Amino acid sequence: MEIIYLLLPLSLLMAIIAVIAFVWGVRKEQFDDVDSAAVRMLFDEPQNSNSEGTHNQPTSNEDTSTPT
Amino acid sequence: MDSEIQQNPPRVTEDASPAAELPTSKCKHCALPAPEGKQFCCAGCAAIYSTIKNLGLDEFYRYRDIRLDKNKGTERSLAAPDDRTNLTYLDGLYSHDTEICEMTLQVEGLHCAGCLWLLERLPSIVPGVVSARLHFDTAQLNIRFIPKEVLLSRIASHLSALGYPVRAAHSQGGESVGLSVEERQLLIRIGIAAFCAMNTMMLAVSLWQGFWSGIPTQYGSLLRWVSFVITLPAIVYSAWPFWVTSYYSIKLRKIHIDIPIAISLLGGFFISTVNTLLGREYVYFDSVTALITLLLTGRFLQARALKRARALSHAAWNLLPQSARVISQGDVDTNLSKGSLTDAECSDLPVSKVRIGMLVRCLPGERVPVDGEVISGESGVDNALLSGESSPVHTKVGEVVSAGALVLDAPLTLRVSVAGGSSRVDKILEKIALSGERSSLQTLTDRASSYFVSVIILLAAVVGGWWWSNHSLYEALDVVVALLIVTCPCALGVATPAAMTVAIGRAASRGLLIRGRDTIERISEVTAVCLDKTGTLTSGYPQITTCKDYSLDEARGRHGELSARNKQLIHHLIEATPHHPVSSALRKMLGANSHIPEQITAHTISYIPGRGVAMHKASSHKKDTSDTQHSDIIRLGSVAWFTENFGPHALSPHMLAEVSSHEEKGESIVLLSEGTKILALFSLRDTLHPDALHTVSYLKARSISVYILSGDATSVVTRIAQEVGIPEENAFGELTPEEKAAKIASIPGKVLMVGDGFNDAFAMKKAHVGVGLRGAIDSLLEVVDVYTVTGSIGRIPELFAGSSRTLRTIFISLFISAFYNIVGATLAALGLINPVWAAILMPLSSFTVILFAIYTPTFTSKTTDEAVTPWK
Repeated sequence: MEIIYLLLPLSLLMAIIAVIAFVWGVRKEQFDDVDSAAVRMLFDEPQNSNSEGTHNQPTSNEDTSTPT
Repeated sequence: MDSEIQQNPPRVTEDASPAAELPTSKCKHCALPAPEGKQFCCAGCAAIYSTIKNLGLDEFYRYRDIRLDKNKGTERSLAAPDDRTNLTYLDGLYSHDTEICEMTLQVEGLHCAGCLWLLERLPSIVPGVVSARLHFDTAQLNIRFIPKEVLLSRIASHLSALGYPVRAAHSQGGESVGLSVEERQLLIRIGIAAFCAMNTMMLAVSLWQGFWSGIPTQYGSLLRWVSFVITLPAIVYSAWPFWVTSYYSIKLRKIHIDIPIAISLLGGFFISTVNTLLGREYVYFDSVTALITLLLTGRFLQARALKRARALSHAAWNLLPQSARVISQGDVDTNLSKGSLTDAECSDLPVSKVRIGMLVRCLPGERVPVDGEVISGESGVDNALLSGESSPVHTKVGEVVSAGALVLDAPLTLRVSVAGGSSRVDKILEKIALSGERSSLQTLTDRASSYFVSVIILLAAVVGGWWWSNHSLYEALDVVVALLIVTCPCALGVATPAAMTVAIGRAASRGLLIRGRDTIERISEVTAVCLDKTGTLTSGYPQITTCKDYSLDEARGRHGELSARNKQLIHHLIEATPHHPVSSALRKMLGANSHIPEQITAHTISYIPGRGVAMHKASSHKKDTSDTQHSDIIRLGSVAWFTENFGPHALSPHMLAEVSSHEEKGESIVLLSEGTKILALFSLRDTLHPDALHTVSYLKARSISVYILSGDATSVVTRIAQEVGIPEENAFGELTPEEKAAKIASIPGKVLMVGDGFNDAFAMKKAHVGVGLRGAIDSLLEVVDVYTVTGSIGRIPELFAGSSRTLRTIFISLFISAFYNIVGATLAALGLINPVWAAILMPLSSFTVILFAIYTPTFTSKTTDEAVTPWK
């Protein structure tokens, strides 16, 4: 069980890294508005006609369903 | 049997198409019910739909049905206020020389993910916009754009066209978009406390196991020491707010809920540290850190709910115009020499740039932006902003007009007498802002804490003393700390914020924005309610109450239906002064069956202020007047005007009786006449709001005394009081804003004031609780505690009912926590509590209380139906 002398500090270290990441995120205002963020990730990339190149192809063809 | 079928023939739809089967269809844009056969619920949606399609943004509809948290989002603005379409003031708010400019706009009409998607697509809709980011919670849109390529007002009008009316974000004193600095710091504290709690809990599981099956000393010691180290950040950093508040409250000798919390936390930490040093088993690091996390989270959520309510209440409209139509100086001179200013060139200027001496032009239907003296033009003016009364005041050259007044009939040109931003209205606003925050109420929670502290200390002393004398000091300390931990006022610290948060959030989603932490408690303490009259109890504008047509029956007249010709005449006549309250009332009356009548050819219409509208047949419009001409003149106006022209005996005795019977009732009369012949008679008055009676009876049923405070004539106020059931001695008329405030101060008990106008602002500050109804202007919102976004005076019973229920929920939560405390304290005193039990009991009590607070209905549609008796 002496291994616990190694494991405890190690896991604490990982947890501290997570806390640092959290604090950094809060400072960067990432937690200010969680509702929008939750939904924003559902959106597709905009098909910018004025962006360079046409590497942004339309993602799929099946979503041409008309709105109800 | 046969007859049954006869009477109820089986329903067969002739047209079996799908449209006929559905009772209503859904609007293609907003998905609300649309009238049968139509694709959209209103012209607004139709316009927006085509705009969106033209921009190629159909994807909007994919996201439209994704709702964010159902408690978020704002109401669609149901009524368009008067003059918000002028957005040019926005251009005065930023410098046009920078590369990229960043501005924040307050948005109305958000309700789904589609809105979020659409608004953040702004760069592809409006060229010149670099990025757009929406904070759904507070309805604020952060826009970065290139000032040289696009004006902010242009962006704003695009947004309005898409169905999202905007205005400049109202940022006051440090309130930034998203979270404030303090909120972020609180979030960090919570994060760290949660980290500590979770890790100590993990380690604690091993230690608990040790209670039963034993644990090798060195590992036990290791785990306790590591727990101690992990707890340190929580105690020192996260729990800091508790130490600070407790320190100051003790210094000021004011009991605060943080004191018993601090006692428990420090006590627990202290004894755990001592035990760690001594190698004893009873350590409470996990409970302490969990407590800190829970309590901080409760506070954070409550602060967020309040902030949201505050931000949303700022999304209402400003009735003071932000821009002025200024006549450029060069044209003033040329036009003055020409004798008329009507053709002068005007430019829009933000109000802050308007200087004394400038000439400002105000058109009918607009509000005056600055205080000024009339130098040209003559019109009726609505001074409701300051006087509360919307009956037009005839204003001529040489008279003074205040900012905020509504010009009704004809354009006015004013010479500015006070620099923009310093009008009388602005000065009053300043005074209100400077008069400071309301003194904070000693809330229920605070009072409960004071009992709590004394009881706990007493108990700890007694129990500790007994154990010390009968057993060892260490055991005594163990018991005392167990006592402190188990009786930690988690319920007080968490339940109240939880119940408040939930209640405020629910109320907000129903359009009742509650702004202060203690507002709900204040409402329950209210013993008297003062209601404003105009706009609150009454609709604010006169409505037609009687309509009598004399064309068929010249003597007696017929009630109700007007002849087609009369309708036609009125349609034309009211166009001469469309913003006059009487015109609006008539238009509304005709509106139900409004088909545009054919033009009456060859006529001229003129409006004579103070009297009415006259229509002359063009052929008979000659310079000289002779008696025969009068027979062709059609008049729509006051009785006095009629008798002026034709003498007091022109009215038949029957007519006179009719007129006086109406005037006795406080109504005013408008006559439609052709020459000496009366065609129709209308009586108007400011009618009671349909919910007024119900609200007043509800309040009386709760033993709350009701008062009316108004700036209107006493006779009218008394009549309204009678109609609504308020005793005459409680009805006060002809009050200035200052007098209203004085009256409130003089009413015994705690007063709740309901108003909708600027002239109520002073009174609101003096009242225990201020409620602003929809339509209340921005400045009033600084002062009110509750703002109703939808509905009107009918929401008052809901407010009271919801507040009572919320308080009841809090009380019950307190009882639940008291129960846990008693059980826990007993077990602790008996020495049966070890860290395991503490760790179990404490979260158990908190979660029970929280779940109860969340799932008890407070502000729902059911609450107003019961006659809720006040908790006390």
